Amino acid sequence: MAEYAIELKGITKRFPGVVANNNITFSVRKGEIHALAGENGAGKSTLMNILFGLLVPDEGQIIINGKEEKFSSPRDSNRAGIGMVHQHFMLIPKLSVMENVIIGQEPGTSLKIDRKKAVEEVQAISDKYELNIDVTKKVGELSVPEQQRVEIIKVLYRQADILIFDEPTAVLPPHLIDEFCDILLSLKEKGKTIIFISHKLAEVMKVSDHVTVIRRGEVIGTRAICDTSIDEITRMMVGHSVDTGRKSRADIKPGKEVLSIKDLHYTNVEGNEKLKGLDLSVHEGEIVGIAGVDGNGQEEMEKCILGLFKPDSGQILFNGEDMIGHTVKERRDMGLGYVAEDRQKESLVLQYSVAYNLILGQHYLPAYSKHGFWLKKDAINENAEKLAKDYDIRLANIQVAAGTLSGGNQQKIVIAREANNDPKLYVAIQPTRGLDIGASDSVQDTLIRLRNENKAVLLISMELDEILAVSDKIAVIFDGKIVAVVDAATADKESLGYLMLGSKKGGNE
Amino acid sequence: MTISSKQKDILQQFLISFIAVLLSLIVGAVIILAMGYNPISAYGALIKGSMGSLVSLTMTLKTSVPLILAGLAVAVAFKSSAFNIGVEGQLMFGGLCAGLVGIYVPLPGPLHLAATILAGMLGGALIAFFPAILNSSCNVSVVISTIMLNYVVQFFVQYCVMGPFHGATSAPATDPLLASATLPNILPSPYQLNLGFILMILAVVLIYIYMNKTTKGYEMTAVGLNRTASEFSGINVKKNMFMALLISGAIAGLAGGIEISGSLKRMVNGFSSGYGFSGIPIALMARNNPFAIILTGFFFGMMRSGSFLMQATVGVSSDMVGIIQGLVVVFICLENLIRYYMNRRK
Amino acid sequence: MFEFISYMIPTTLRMGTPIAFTALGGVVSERSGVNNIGLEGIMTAGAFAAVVGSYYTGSPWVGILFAILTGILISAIHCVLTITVGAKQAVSSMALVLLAEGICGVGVEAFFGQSGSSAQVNNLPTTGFLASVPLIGGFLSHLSPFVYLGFIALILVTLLFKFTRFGFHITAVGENPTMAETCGINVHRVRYISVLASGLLGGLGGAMLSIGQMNLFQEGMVSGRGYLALGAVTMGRWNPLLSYGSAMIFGFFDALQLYLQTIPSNPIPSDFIQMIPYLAILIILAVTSRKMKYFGITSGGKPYTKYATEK
Repeated sequence: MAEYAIELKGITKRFPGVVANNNITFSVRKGEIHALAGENGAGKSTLMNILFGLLVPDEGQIIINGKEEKFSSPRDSNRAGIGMVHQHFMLIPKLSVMENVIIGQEPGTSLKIDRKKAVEEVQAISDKYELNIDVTKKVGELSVPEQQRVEIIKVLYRQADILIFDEPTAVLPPHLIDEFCDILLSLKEKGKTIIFISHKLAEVMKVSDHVTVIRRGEVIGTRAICDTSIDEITRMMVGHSVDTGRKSRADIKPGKEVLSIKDLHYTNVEGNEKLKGLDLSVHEGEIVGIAGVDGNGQEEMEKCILGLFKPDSGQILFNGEDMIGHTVKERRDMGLGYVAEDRQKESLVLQYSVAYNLILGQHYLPAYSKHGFWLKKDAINENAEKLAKDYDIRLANIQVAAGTLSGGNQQKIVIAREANNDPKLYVAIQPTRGLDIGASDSVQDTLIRLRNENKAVLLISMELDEILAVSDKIAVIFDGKIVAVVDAATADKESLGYLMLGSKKGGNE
Repeated sequence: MTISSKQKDILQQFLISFIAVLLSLIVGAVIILAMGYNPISAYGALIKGSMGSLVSLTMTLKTSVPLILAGLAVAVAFKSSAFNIGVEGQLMFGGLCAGLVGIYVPLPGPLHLAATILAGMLGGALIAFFPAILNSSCNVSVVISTIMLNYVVQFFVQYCVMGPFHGATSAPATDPLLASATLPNILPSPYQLNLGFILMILAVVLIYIYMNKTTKGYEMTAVGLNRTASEFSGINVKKNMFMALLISGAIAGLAGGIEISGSLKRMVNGFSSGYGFSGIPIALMARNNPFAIILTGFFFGMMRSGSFLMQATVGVSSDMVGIIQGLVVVFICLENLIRYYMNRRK
Repeated sequence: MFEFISYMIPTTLRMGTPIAFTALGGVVSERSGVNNIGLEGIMTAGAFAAVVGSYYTGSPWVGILFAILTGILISAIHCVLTITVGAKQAVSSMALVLLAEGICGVGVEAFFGQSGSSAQVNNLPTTGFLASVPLIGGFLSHLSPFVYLGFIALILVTLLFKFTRFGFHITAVGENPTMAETCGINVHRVRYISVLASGLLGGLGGAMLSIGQMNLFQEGMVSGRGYLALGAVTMGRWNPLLSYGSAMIFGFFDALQLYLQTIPSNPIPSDFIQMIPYLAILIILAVTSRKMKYFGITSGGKPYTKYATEK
């Protein structure tokens, strides 16, 4: 018998322009709970998708139970005994728990699925692992934590011995996390091997035997839990703050308050409360950076500000006027510039020319149209020529389709357009994601310039380095609330890391 | 000289449409051959019948008018990503409204003609209004509601023409329109081309201007190309789809009005013979470009008007045109595949 | 009253069954995630093929076989265009309608040398042998065998979804193709088979129009029944029995309309009565569309590319 359930040796996966996994090597013992920790974008998901057969690595070996395997689809990894509990559940709400579990491996004959036997088998799994699910219920009637347990049953039904959990506690309310940890421990007791991906170090410390930390696609190290501390793991995750690369800026005093969010609550369609009384304030002449782990309410806050989501309660004051109830267009007219997260889906019409994209959402303004009806082609082109020059958008000419440009140049279009209409508040979401260093720098410089011009800037980013480099103030978002606001000039990465991960140490709540 | 990527793109789209038509004609030829006819003489008769003489050419132009307008109607809705299959019904209802105003609402001089044409447009827009409102307020799929309305309109028109407004003759038609409500010929006899042709050109130009030179067209196209980005930029997506459907219906109604007031000069039950459905391949082939629609619409007009000679001299059924129409859509659907092979060869 | 009922029941079955066949096909295809508004074209082609088959062999049963094969063939085009190439489903569907109408128009002339309608052919006789069944024998003997085939189709489709593994896979693929694939189901294969099955059933529906109700093919004889079938699928919430029932409601209105035409001096013009099924759908859709999200097929209308390649 091999000692290790999983051995990964030298796994490397490259995407165009990025090395997502670089020479990753670590091993998971049989029957242990092995945590995989790392910041967003560190390469954990890529690694797990490789292990699950959704991605094929460029280099390296996967050894399962002492035998080298090559996975080209989830079917292959299933066969090797690997099952995955996805962060976004793969379930069909309309069907019963039992039906969701047995898909693809139904008992009985092809003419008649043996539903009675299926119910018995699936219920037996639920009972054996004390998952407490009525398998005849429809999945849609179950709560999110219960659905997660259905995913676990599904994996167990497929006789997986190695279970991968992708951010399992992200969907759980705090009071159920202990219960979930018990489930993990009970699975371990029954001989399963578990890989557990998480940001939440408290749980990692509680249930894991070992933890491997990944940063920027590389393994930083593996520690036995008994030999390490939250402090050490945090340091490993965020790295040593050698040089924050903080951007120089004009020394100006913040002016009056432009954006003021008060006690904002928002519940999504699934009934989860994603914003739980969020307060935030942004003044003229300052950049407020929102630091936080993905999924703590950033998206909901952004969309409430833009006007795509309607909050349950609370206020979003813009220069003293409540924006709630106003349409997106009205908010933009009031002076909101908004750089959306996904430039291709949310910000650009890829088939439109660069010139046309540079006026999207402003096309009806007198600058570009006569009586709001006739497009002024000359003015539109002049505007495009000017912005292309000012923002160094590199293109053959302004009439080429935006879709033909590189990501960096596409982003510059969005940055330029949103800054062009004299915004009072400039919201930028992940503005440098996927960009090379040159383009990133130029985007960040624009944010600083806007701030120096006395605009209010709100920067939302998963990259702590960026937040530290660009912001004046840093607001940490956790679990639908701003849990701390600190001065960026004196903030240190480590204590921010604690706050972002929900730990109370290092900051005041 | 280097060509810009935009021109290259247009060129490629043109090529794809051209290949699609070519493939349709080839498959059509195979079918003709299989039926025991000579495809070359069949296509020859098709061309001769539609463009062999000046008289037949003007006939073809006249036939093309409602086709081009139907294509334009489909294209406008398509631009905002609404699939309007109800052009047929909107066109018929427009014809009915135009006919009734032309017969029963005597107005002085050119006012009467204007009112007749306008009634056609309003009628078409009214029929498009229902799917538009059902879509924006109740989320009903435009495809299903426009199709269903085709049949409702068909029966309603049938009732009107065969019932209360039935004419003096036994034909399934109303009485003739008053002379003041008919579109005058713009060419001397025997060449048949009426003012409707000019109206059609006008409509094409206006729609081109609307779609390309105005903020409204800018918004509508943006909605069709990227709904999410439009929403993020503050454009009202539902309002734009609503407007696009109304305009589409009005153009369809214009086609019906011109057909009644220009060609038939009375309201005839079931006069449309599938103009609205032909509009779909016409718009698809032209990539929704108004000026290209004149070309593709003319191509279909050619097939329609030439098909009679083809049937009379070669014996191939005029319904062959319908098959080619369907084949064009099939091959346009294969666009991705054609594009794939075109790019691979490079 | 008795006269009315004894007219309405068999006529409803006669008028409703073609729609019901097609609707059952629509249920199978749409539940796998492929919408097909071109059912009308499949019916048209089926109606025509049935007549051709019967004309050349003299046997209406061969006609039915022809109709089935043609329905499958036509829907194969939809398969390739939507599943393999990923074309817009609505546009591809329109290709089917245009193509089928063209082919039948040309075909009528090619096979029968006349335009508009075919020659008269042998049709499927009613089930006269059931006359000896006690009490209702007279009623049964006047029904077309298609009506019984319709019952069988309903039972088979119901059983397909209720019991069989394949039916279960159709549901899984329609609801969450990504999940189905990670569970080892071949999404494209399931969708192909489902769409071809809908072609089979649509072909049968068409055949009933031409050699079940009449004994010839007429251009335009389907007159929107394919679209009504589509409406019946939605109205029946993608459930075979409810969709069959919805199709019968349309059959009922058709029968009512025929009945009213037999009454001298009936006050409502038949054109308005003929509108009822179409208007009914519009009203029902307007009322229920907002809730349809729950009943609707989650992946309906969306092409599926393999998860692994998508990432």
